[in-house]
Amino acid sequence: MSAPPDAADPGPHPALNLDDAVHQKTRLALLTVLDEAGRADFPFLKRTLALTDGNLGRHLDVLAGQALVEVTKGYEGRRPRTWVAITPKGREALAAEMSVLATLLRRFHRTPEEAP
Amino acid sequence: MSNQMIDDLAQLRARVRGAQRIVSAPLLTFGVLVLIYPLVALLAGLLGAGGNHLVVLAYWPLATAAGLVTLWLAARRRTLRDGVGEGTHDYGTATRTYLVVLVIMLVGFIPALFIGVFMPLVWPALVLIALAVWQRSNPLYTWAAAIGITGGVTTVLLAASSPEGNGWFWLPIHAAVGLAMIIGGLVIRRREAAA
Repeated sequence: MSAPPDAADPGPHPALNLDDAVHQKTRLALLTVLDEAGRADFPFLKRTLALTDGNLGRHLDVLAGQALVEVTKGYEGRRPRTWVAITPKGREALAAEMSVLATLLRRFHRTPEEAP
Repeated sequence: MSNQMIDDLAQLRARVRGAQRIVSAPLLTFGVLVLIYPLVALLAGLLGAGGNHLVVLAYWPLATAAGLVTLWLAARRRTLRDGVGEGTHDYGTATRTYLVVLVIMLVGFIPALFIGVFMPLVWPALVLIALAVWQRSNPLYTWAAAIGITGGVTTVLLAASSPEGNGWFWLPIHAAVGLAMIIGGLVIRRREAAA
């Protein structure tokens, strides 16, 4: 008797579960910082991640477009100040990404004999 | 994708936590309160038995509230100055939770308040342990445990000493612990700022 056809099938590779919007390394770093801080202003993010204004702005646009972060532009006195806050969807996306990365790492470190 | 990436993200988290002064701020605040306690207790001794007991009983419950409010205000100021938020484990929630617990202890006549009288170093240690768990900080937990153990040993030695006034040694121990917390807090603050 042969095994059911899906018993040997390991299913889709976990790498397929990576979300392109989150997986890009700068955006992953941005979400990590915001997950810890809750919110941060534009200069703090720029300083912490050593990014240029344009680069940071582009990555924030991608994350904001997916509703993973919320960008609030305002003024403090006469000085403009931009705050970026992580959304609940952003936290979920980061947690999912880290979970996939952990699965991939476990799979990567398995010996060839253990591999399905 | 590698372990290096995970390490980099962990380092990034550590930098944000450094900017939030997760370890140094509570150590410095409660170090000052530990250092002040012997002075307050000595001054309260001048008030006579009733006043002395009231001051010693009220010190840690009130000092803890003052310490948490100070941490809360400092974190808010840091957010506005440095542009880094407090995260979900903020001091505002910790302060409100503490005040609710304090009211429950007062209304319920729960004798936990006497921890601050008979084991005055254990009270701040318990508060710091609660903050360490709340902020997920292992270094703060280690400091809190060390302070708690010192407080416990001091209490045992105090209880074992004769009642004729040999219990004086708690004062330099308190001062030493308070100073160690402040110096430790300043050293950690420098490291956090450099992270």
